[in-house]
Amino acid sequence: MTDEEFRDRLDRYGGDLALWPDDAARDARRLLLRSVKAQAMLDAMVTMELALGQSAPDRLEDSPSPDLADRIFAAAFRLGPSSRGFDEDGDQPPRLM
Amino acid sequence: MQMADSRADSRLDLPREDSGVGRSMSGELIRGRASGVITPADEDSDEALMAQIRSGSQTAYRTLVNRHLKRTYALARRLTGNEAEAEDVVQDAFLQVWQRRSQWSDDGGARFTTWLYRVVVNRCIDHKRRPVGQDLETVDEPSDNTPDAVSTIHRQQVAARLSDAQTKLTPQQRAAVTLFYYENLSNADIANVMQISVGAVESLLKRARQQLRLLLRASAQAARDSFDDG
Repeated sequence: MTDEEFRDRLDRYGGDLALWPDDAARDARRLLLRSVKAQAMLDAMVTMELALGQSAPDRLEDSPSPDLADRIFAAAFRLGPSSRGFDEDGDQPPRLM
Repeated sequence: MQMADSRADSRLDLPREDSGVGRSMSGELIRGRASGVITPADEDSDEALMAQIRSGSQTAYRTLVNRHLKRTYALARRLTGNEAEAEDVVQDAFLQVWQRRSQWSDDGGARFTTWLYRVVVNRCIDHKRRPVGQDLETVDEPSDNTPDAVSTIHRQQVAARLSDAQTKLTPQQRAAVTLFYYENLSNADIANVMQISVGAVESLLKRARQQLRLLLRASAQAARDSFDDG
């Protein structure tokens, strides 16, 4: 595996080699033993991913308005049942670019 | 294409066990930080509640909404970047649960949380059809030969820059990144929610990581240039 191939797989699979296909992970570990550039790429990716996963789930902005649940209940119990099924509309696949 | 995710056949209630924080889609806390929704073993499952809701139980509906509201809102908030839009999305999703209760079937179809996440993600993508951001191709590669530039930046600065950079991702990329890094879902689970292939999830994540990396580097370079100028 070359540094460029490592970069490609790093972008595809992320910085956790445990999530890589076995063959690619094995080749990557071999490369990391001899390539400072690959080590730096991995360090940078891990740093970025740690920051990405660093979110504070209980931050204030991650909490809805205190009355949101009551608004949902009030709106829901005013509504009659819909004939649309669970497999309709909401299950449509997101459109890719 | 070989799938990177060794748990590609995982159900949505299985956590990414190799992640630092494991959590099931039903909110069960596996390990790590205390977040999400914890459903004690003696409480009804989502599917059991849905069966009661189908019979018109408002109590069961309230329980289900309260169980998933905060986490669903947090997901929508991250995807839309806007509190009001997130509340609209969440309200719409839960209203559909009540309105469509008579059509709910627990006969091996999608789990409730799969369906709920799918609705939320699709609604958020519709809200953000195309962000005002840069395409990957428009982001210049900074002339920085230091390979570990990012690692020299303080983590909180990186987090702040990442937060800004994420707004420049496409809605689909942002959804994949959020489900992977914040919700700790496997690629297979993300594929299930977004109803795309695992390979397509990998491609979305690849493009997102590339773009985030380039945006971070450009941001770090700009910060250094600013410092040098001062």
